[in-house]
Amino acid sequence: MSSGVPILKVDDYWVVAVEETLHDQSVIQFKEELLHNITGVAGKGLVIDISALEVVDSFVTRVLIEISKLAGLLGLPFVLTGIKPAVAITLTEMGLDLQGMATALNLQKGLEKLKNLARMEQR
Amino acid sequence: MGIFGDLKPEIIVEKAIDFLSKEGQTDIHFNEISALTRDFCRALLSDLEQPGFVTSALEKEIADKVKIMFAQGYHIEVLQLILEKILDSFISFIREQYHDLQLAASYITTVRDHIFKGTAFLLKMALQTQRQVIQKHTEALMELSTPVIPLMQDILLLPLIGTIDTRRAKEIMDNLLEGIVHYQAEVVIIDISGVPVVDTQVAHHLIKTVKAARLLGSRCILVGIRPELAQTIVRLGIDFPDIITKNNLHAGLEQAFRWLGYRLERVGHDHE
Repeated sequence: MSSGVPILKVDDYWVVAVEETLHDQSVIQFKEELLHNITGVAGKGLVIDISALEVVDSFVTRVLIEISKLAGLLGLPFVLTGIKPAVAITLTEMGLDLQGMATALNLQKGLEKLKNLARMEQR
Repeated sequence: MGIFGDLKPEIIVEKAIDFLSKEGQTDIHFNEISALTRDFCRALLSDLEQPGFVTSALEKEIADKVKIMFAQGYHIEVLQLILEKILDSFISFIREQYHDLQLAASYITTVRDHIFKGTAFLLKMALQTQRQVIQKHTEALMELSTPVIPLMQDILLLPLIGTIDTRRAKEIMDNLLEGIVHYQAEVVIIDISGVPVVDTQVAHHLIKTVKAARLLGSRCILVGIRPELAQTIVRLGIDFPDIITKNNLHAGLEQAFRWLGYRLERVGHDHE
Protein backbone atom coordinates (compact mmCIF):
# COMPACT_ATOMS: atom_id res chain seq x y z
CA MET A 1 0.00 0.00 0.00
CA SER A 2 1.30 3.42 -0.82
CA SER A 3 0.59 6.75 0.84
CA GLY A 4 -0.55 8.27 -2.45
CA VAL A 5 1.75 11.25 -2.11
CA PRO A 6 3.80 11.75 -5.28
CA ILE A 7 7.52 12.09 -4.69
CA LEU A 8 9.08 13.71 -7.73
CA LYS A 9 12.57 14.58 -8.76
CA VAL A 10 13.17 17.73 -10.78
CA ASP A 11 16.76 18.27 -11.83
CA ASP A 12 18.62 17.47 -8.67
CA TYR A 13 15.84 18.35 -6.28
CA TRP A 14 13.24 16.22 -4.60
CA VAL A 15 9.80 17.85 -4.84
CA VAL A 16 6.84 16.65 -2.83
CA ALA A 17 3.40 18.26 -2.99
CA VAL A 18 1.06 16.97 -0.35
CA GLU A 19 -2.40 17.21 -1.82
CA GLU A 20 -4.79 15.92 0.78
CA THR A 21 -4.98 15.68 4.52
CA LEU A 22 -2.82 12.83 5.72
CA HIS A 23 -3.99 10.29 8.26
CA ASP A 24 -1.60 9.04 10.88
CA GLN A 25 -1.00 5.79 9.03
CA SER A 26 -0.43 7.39 5.64
CA VAL A 27 1.94 9.95 7.18
CA ILE A 28 4.18 7.19 8.44
CA GLN A 29 3.86 5.42 5.11
CA PHE A 30 4.83 8.62 3.33
CA LYS A 31 7.86 9.11 5.55
CA GLU A 32 9.08 5.62 4.80
CA GLU A 33 8.64 6.08 1.07
CA LEU A 34 10.37 9.43 1.12
CA LEU A 35 13.26 8.10 3.14
CA HIS A 36 13.60 5.16 0.82
CA ASN A 37 13.70 7.48 -2.19
CA ILE A 38 16.12 10.09 -0.96
CA THR A 39 18.73 7.78 0.55
CA GLY A 40 19.39 5.90 -2.66
CA VAL A 41 19.89 8.74 -5.08
CA ALA A 42 22.07 11.78 -4.67
CA GLY A 43 20.13 15.06 -4.55
CA LYS A 44 20.75 18.69 -3.78
CA GLY A 45 17.68 19.35 -1.73
CA LEU A 46 14.14 18.51 -0.72
CA VAL A 47 11.01 20.67 -0.87
CA ILE A 48 7.74 19.64 0.70
CA ASP A 49 4.78 21.83 -0.26
CA ILE A 50 1.77 21.72 2.02
CA SER A 51 -0.21 24.61 0.52
CA ALA A 52 -3.18 22.29 -0.06
CA LEU A 53 -3.45 21.46 3.62
CA GLU A 54 -6.01 23.44 5.62
CA VAL A 55 -5.30 21.47 8.78
CA VAL A 56 -1.99 20.23 10.09
CA ASP A 57 -2.20 18.30 13.35
CA SER A 58 0.54 17.75 15.89
CA PHE A 59 1.34 14.29 14.60
CA VAL A 60 1.93 15.48 11.05
CA THR A 61 4.01 18.32 12.49
CA ARG A 62 6.11 15.82 14.42
CA VAL A 63 6.70 13.75 11.32
CA LEU A 64 7.65 16.85 9.36
CA ILE A 65 10.17 17.76 12.04
CA GLU A 66 11.49 14.17 11.88
CA ILE A 67 11.83 14.38 8.11
CA SER A 68 13.70 17.66 8.48
CA LYS A 69 16.13 16.04 10.90
CA LEU A 70 16.54 12.95 8.73
CA ALA A 71 17.26 15.14 5.72
CA GLY A 72 19.77 17.01 7.83
CA LEU A 73 21.52 13.72 8.70
CA LEU A 74 21.65 12.81 5.04
CA GLY A 75 23.11 16.22 4.24
CA LEU A 76 20.08 17.15 2.20
CA PRO A 77 18.89 20.77 2.55
CA PHE A 78 15.17 20.84 3.33
CA VAL A 79 12.54 23.56 2.84
CA LEU A 80 8.88 23.39 3.87
CA THR A 81 6.64 25.61 1.75
CA GLY A 82 3.09 26.89 1.53
CA ILE A 83 2.04 26.91 5.17
CA LYS A 84 -1.36 28.60 5.41
CA PRO A 85 -1.96 31.45 7.87
CA ALA A 86 -4.49 29.43 9.85
CA VAL A 87 -2.02 26.56 10.10
CA ALA A 88 0.78 28.93 11.16
CA ILE A 89 -1.42 30.43 13.87
CA THR A 90 -2.39 27.01 15.20
CA LEU A 91 1.21 25.84 15.24
CA THR A 92 2.42 28.90 17.14
CA GLU A 93 -0.49 28.64 19.57
CA MET A 94 0.56 25.04 20.20
CA GLY A 95 4.10 26.26 20.80
CA LEU A 96 5.53 24.49 17.76
CA ASP A 97 7.73 26.80 15.79
CA LEU A 98 9.22 23.98 13.71
CA GLN A 99 12.59 24.38 15.39
CA GLY A 100 14.61 26.30 12.88
CA MET A 101 13.19 24.52 9.87
CA ALA A 102 13.58 26.49 6.66
CA THR A 103 10.28 27.69 5.22
CA ALA A 104 9.23 29.54 2.09
CA LEU A 105 6.04 31.10 0.80
CA ASN A 106 5.61 28.82 -2.20
CA LEU A 107 7.24 26.03 -4.14
CA GLN A 108 9.02 28.44 -6.49
CA LYS A 109 10.59 30.38 -3.64
CA GLY A 110 11.43 27.15 -1.84
CA LEU A 111 13.39 25.90 -4.85
CA GLU A 112 15.14 29.26 -5.14
CA LYS A 113 16.11 29.00 -1.51
CA LEU A 114 17.59 25.54 -2.05
CA LYS A 115 19.50 26.72 -5.10
CA ASN A 116 20.90 29.62 -3.09
CA LEU A 117 22.00 27.22 -0.37
CA ALA A 118 23.69 24.98 -2.93
CA ARG A 119 25.45 27.99 -4.45
CA MET A 120 26.69 29.13 -1.06
CA GLU A 121 28.03 25.67 -0.31
CA GLN A 122 29.99 25.63 -3.54
CA ARG A 123 31.85 28.77 -2.57
CA MET B 1 -56.66 66.61 41.90
CA GLY B 2 -53.02 66.19 42.90
CA ILE B 3 -50.71 68.23 44.97
CA PHE B 4 -49.34 70.17 42.04
CA GLY B 5 -52.55 70.63 40.12
CA ASP B 6 -51.73 74.03 38.67
CA LEU B 7 -47.93 73.68 38.56
CA LYS B 8 -46.41 74.06 35.09
CA PRO B 9 -43.15 72.30 34.20
CA GLU B 10 -41.79 75.62 32.96
CA ILE B 11 -41.99 77.09 36.44
CA ILE B 12 -39.94 74.27 37.89
CA VAL B 13 -37.37 74.55 35.10
CA GLU B 14 -37.12 78.30 35.59
CA LYS B 15 -36.53 77.83 39.25
CA ALA B 16 -33.98 75.06 38.73
CA ILE B 17 -32.06 77.22 36.28
CA ASP B 18 -32.26 80.09 38.70
CA PHE B 19 -30.69 77.89 41.36
CA LEU B 20 -27.99 76.80 38.96
CA SER B 21 -27.01 80.30 37.95
CA LYS B 22 -26.95 81.37 41.59
CA GLU B 23 -24.32 78.70 42.12
CA GLY B 24 -22.29 80.19 39.30
CA GLN B 25 -22.86 77.34 36.86
CA THR B 26 -22.47 79.51 33.80
CA ASP B 27 -20.78 76.95 31.62
CA ILE B 28 -23.99 75.00 31.19
CA HIS B 29 -25.97 76.14 28.18
CA PHE B 30 -29.39 76.40 29.66
CA ASN B 31 -31.31 76.58 26.41
CA GLU B 32 -30.11 73.19 25.30
CA ILE B 33 -30.73 71.56 28.62
CA SER B 34 -33.98 73.26 29.55
CA ALA B 35 -35.85 71.34 26.85
CA LEU B 36 -34.73 68.08 28.39
CA THR B 37 -35.47 69.34 31.88
CA ARG B 38 -38.94 70.48 30.82
CA ASP B 39 -39.76 67.09 29.37
CA PHE B 40 -38.45 65.43 32.47
CA CYS B 41 -40.56 67.70 34.73
CA ARG B 42 -43.65 67.13 32.62
CA ALA B 43 -43.20 63.38 32.90
CA LEU B 44 -42.58 63.76 36.60
CA LEU B 45 -45.73 65.80 37.13
CA SER B 46 -47.91 63.44 35.14
CA ASP B 47 -46.41 60.58 37.11
CA LEU B 48 -47.28 62.30 40.38
CA GLU B 49 -50.86 62.59 39.15
CA GLN B 50 -51.00 59.08 37.79
CA PRO B 51 -48.15 56.65 38.51
CA GLY B 52 -46.22 55.12 35.63
CA PHE B 53 -43.31 57.34 34.72
CA VAL B 54 -41.57 55.07 32.23
CA THR B 55 -44.74 54.16 30.36
CA SER B 56 -45.21 57.79 29.53
CA ALA B 57 -45.14 58.81 25.90
CA LEU B 58 -42.37 61.19 26.79
CA GLU B 59 -39.98 58.33 27.35
CA LYS B 60 -38.71 58.20 23.80
CA GLU B 61 -38.47 61.96 23.57
CA ILE B 62 -36.42 62.10 26.74
CA ALA B 63 -34.19 59.29 25.54
CA ASP B 64 -33.56 61.16 22.27
CA LYS B 65 -32.74 64.36 24.13
CA VAL B 66 -30.32 62.53 26.39
CA LYS B 67 -28.64 61.13 23.30
CA ILE B 68 -28.30 64.59 21.77
CA MET B 69 -26.97 65.94 25.03
CA PHE B 70 -24.21 63.36 25.09
CA ALA B 71 -23.43 63.87 21.45
CA GLN B 72 -22.84 67.52 22.35
CA GLY B 73 -20.35 66.45 24.96
CA TYR B 74 -22.22 66.84 28.25
CA HIS B 75 -21.35 64.59 31.12
CA ILE B 76 -23.41 62.65 33.59
CA GLU B 77 -22.37 65.18 36.24
CA VAL B 78 -24.40 67.86 34.49
CA LEU B 79 -27.45 65.64 34.50
CA GLN B 80 -27.01 64.92 38.16
CA LEU B 81 -26.68 68.63 38.94
CA ILE B 82 -29.88 69.46 37.13
CA LEU B 83 -31.82 66.72 38.85
CA GLU B 84 -30.60 68.01 42.19
CA LYS B 85 -31.86 71.46 41.30
CA ILE B 86 -35.22 70.12 40.17
CA LEU B 87 -35.64 68.50 43.56
CA ASP B 88 -34.70 71.81 45.19
CA SER B 89 -37.30 73.65 43.10
CA PHE B 90 -40.02 71.22 44.08
CA ILE B 91 -39.10 71.53 47.71
CA SER B 92 -39.19 75.30 47.63
CA PHE B 93 -42.54 75.20 45.81
CA ILE B 94 -44.03 72.86 48.41
CA ARG B 95 -42.70 75.04 51.22
CA GLU B 96 -44.41 78.08 49.70
CA GLN B 97 -47.71 76.28 49.15
CA TYR B 98 -48.09 74.20 52.28
CA HIS B 99 -47.48 75.60 55.69
CA ASP B 100 -48.41 72.43 57.52
CA LEU B 101 -44.96 71.03 58.16
CA GLN B 102 -46.00 67.39 58.38
CA LEU B 103 -47.98 67.54 55.15
CA ALA B 104 -45.11 69.35 53.37
CA ALA B 105 -42.65 66.73 54.57
CA SER B 106 -44.76 63.85 53.26
CA TYR B 107 -45.16 65.60 49.88
CA ILE B 108 -41.44 66.20 49.68
CA THR B 109 -40.80 62.51 50.33
CA THR B 110 -43.20 61.57 47.52
CA VAL B 111 -41.54 63.95 45.10
CA ARG B 112 -38.11 62.76 46.10
CA ASP B 113 -39.01 59.15 45.48
CA HIS B 114 -40.36 60.02 42.08
CA ILE B 115 -37.29 62.00 41.18
CA PHE B 116 -35.07 59.11 42.20
CA LYS B 117 -37.08 56.83 39.98
CA GLY B 118 -36.79 59.27 37.10
CA THR B 119 -33.09 59.69 37.75
CA ALA B 120 -32.52 55.97 37.50
CA PHE B 121 -34.29 56.02 34.15
CA LEU B 122 -32.28 58.96 32.87
CA LEU B 123 -29.00 57.43 33.99
CA LYS B 124 -29.91 54.18 32.29
CA MET B 125 -30.50 56.11 29.07
CA ALA B 126 -27.25 58.00 29.52
CA LEU B 127 -25.22 54.88 30.12
CA GLN B 128 -26.82 53.13 27.19
CA THR B 129 -25.95 56.06 24.95
CA GLN B 130 -22.41 56.14 26.21
CA ARG B 131 -22.01 52.42 25.66
CA GLN B 132 -23.19 52.80 22.08
CA VAL B 133 -20.67 55.58 21.49
CA ILE B 134 -17.84 53.50 22.92
CA GLN B 135 -18.86 50.52 20.80
CA LYS B 136 -18.82 52.64 17.67
CA HIS B 137 -15.40 54.06 18.50
CA THR B 138 -13.97 50.63 19.21
CA GLU B 139 -15.13 49.39 15.83
CA ALA B 140 -13.70 52.42 14.06
CA LEU B 141 -10.42 51.94 15.87
CA MET B 142 -10.26 48.27 14.88
CA GLU B 143 -10.70 49.17 11.25
CA LEU B 144 -8.06 51.85 11.34
CA SER B 145 -5.54 50.19 13.48
CA THR B 146 -3.98 47.34 11.55
CA PRO B 147 -2.90 48.38 8.09
CA VAL B 148 -0.51 46.15 6.20
CA ILE B 149 1.33 48.19 3.60
CA PRO B 150 3.04 46.63 0.59
CA LEU B 151 6.12 48.86 0.40
CA MET B 152 7.49 47.27 -2.71
CA GLN B 153 7.89 43.84 -4.26
CA ASP B 154 8.56 41.31 -1.50
CA ILE B 155 8.54 43.89 1.31
CA LEU B 156 5.62 44.56 3.65
CA LEU B 157 5.43 47.29 6.26
CA LEU B 158 3.39 46.81 9.42
CA PRO B 159 3.22 50.09 11.32
CA LEU B 160 1.81 49.46 14.78
CA ILE B 161 0.17 52.42 16.45
CA GLY B 162 -1.47 52.54 19.85
CA THR B 163 -1.85 50.15 22.71
CA ILE B 164 -1.89 46.48 21.81
CA ASP B 165 -4.18 44.20 23.76
CA THR B 166 -4.89 40.54 23.17
CA ARG B 167 -7.81 41.21 20.85
CA ARG B 168 -5.85 43.64 18.72
CA ALA B 169 -2.83 41.37 18.71
CA LYS B 170 -4.93 38.59 17.23
CA GLU B 171 -6.28 40.95 14.60
CA ILE B 172 -2.78 42.14 13.77
CA MET B 173 -1.52 38.58 13.40
CA ASP B 174 -4.43 37.58 11.16
CA ASN B 175 -4.04 40.66 8.98
CA LEU B 176 -0.30 40.29 8.66
CA LEU B 177 -0.40 36.60 7.74
CA GLU B 178 -3.13 37.21 5.18
CA GLY B 179 -1.07 40.11 3.82
CA ILE B 180 2.05 37.97 3.55
CA VAL B 181 0.22 35.31 1.56
CA HIS B 182 -1.60 37.85 -0.59
CA TYR B 183 1.50 39.84 -1.53
CA GLN B 184 3.87 36.83 -1.30
CA ALA B 185 6.16 39.03 0.74
CA GLU B 186 9.51 37.70 1.85
CA VAL B 187 10.32 40.41 4.35
CA VAL B 188 8.10 42.15 6.87
CA ILE B 189 9.19 45.30 8.64
CA ILE B 190 7.31 45.78 11.91
CA ASP B 191 7.50 49.37 13.13
CA ILE B 192 6.59 49.67 16.80
CA SER B 193 7.56 53.33 17.25
CA GLY B 194 3.86 54.13 17.69
CA VAL B 195 3.30 51.65 20.49
CA PRO B 196 3.34 53.55 23.81
CA VAL B 197 3.89 50.61 26.16
CA VAL B 198 5.47 47.23 25.61
CA ASP B 199 4.88 44.85 28.49
CA THR B 200 5.40 41.10 28.65
CA GLN B 201 1.99 40.55 27.12
CA VAL B 202 2.66 42.72 24.06
CA ALA B 203 6.12 41.23 23.65
CA HIS B 204 4.63 37.76 23.77
CA HIS B 205 2.18 38.67 21.03
CA LEU B 206 4.94 40.19 18.92
CA ILE B 207 7.08 37.10 19.24
CA LYS B 208 4.16 34.89 18.30
CA THR B 209 3.40 36.99 15.25
CA VAL B 210 7.03 36.86 14.13
CA LYS B 211 7.15 33.09 14.60
CA ALA B 212 3.96 32.56 12.62
CA ALA B 213 5.29 34.77 9.83
CA ARG B 214 8.48 32.75 9.81
CA LEU B 215 6.46 29.55 9.39
CA LEU B 216 4.97 31.02 6.24
CA GLY B 217 8.45 31.71 4.98
CA SER B 218 8.81 35.43 5.66
CA ARG B 219 11.47 37.12 7.69
CA CYS B 220 10.59 39.91 10.11
CA ILE B 221 12.57 42.95 11.11
CA LEU B 222 11.51 44.80 14.23
CA VAL B 223 12.20 48.52 14.05
CA GLY B 224 11.43 51.69 15.99
CA ILE B 225 12.17 50.62 19.54
CA ARG B 226 12.32 53.89 21.46
CA PRO B 227 14.95 54.31 24.22
CA GLU B 228 12.42 54.17 27.07
CA LEU B 229 10.84 51.16 25.43
CA ALA B 230 14.20 49.43 25.21
CA GLN B 231 14.70 50.13 28.91
CA THR B 232 11.35 48.61 29.83
CA ILE B 233 12.04 45.56 27.71
CA VAL B 234 15.41 45.04 29.39
CA ARG B 235 14.02 45.72 32.86
CA LEU B 236 11.19 43.25 32.37
CA GLY B 237 13.71 40.69 31.20
CA ILE B 238 11.89 40.15 27.92
CA ASP B 239 14.00 38.35 25.40
CA PHE B 240 13.29 38.63 21.70
CA PRO B 241 14.81 35.32 20.69
CA ASP B 242 16.52 35.64 17.36
CA ILE B 243 14.29 38.44 16.13
CA ILE B 244 16.21 40.95 14.12
CA THR B 245 15.88 44.48 15.41
CA LYS B 246 17.03 47.71 13.81
CA ASN B 247 16.88 51.13 15.32
CA ASN B 248 14.75 52.77 12.65
CA LEU B 249 12.73 52.12 9.55
CA HIS B 250 15.60 53.20 7.33
CA ALA B 251 17.97 50.63 8.79
CA GLY B 252 15.26 48.01 8.57
CA LEU B 253 14.73 48.76 4.91
CA GLU B 254 18.43 48.51 4.23
CA GLN B 255 18.51 45.11 5.92
CA ALA B 256 15.57 43.98 3.80
CA PHE B 257 17.37 45.16 0.67
CA ARG B 258 20.46 43.23 1.68
CA TRP B 259 18.46 40.03 2.15
CA LEU B 260 16.64 40.39 -1.13
CA GLY B 261 19.76 41.41 -3.02
CA TYR B 262 18.52 44.88 -3.90
CA ARG B 263 20.74 47.93 -3.98
CA LEU B 264 19.51 51.46 -3.73
CA GLU B 265 21.48 53.67 -6.01
CA ARG B 266 21.20 57.33 -6.85
CA VAL B 267 21.62 57.79 -10.55
CA GLY B 268 21.15 61.53 -10.70
CA HIS B 269 18.80 64.39 -10.07
CA ASP B 270 15.57 64.87 -11.90
CA HIS B 271 15.55 68.63 -12.51
CA GLU B 272 12.12 69.32 -13.83
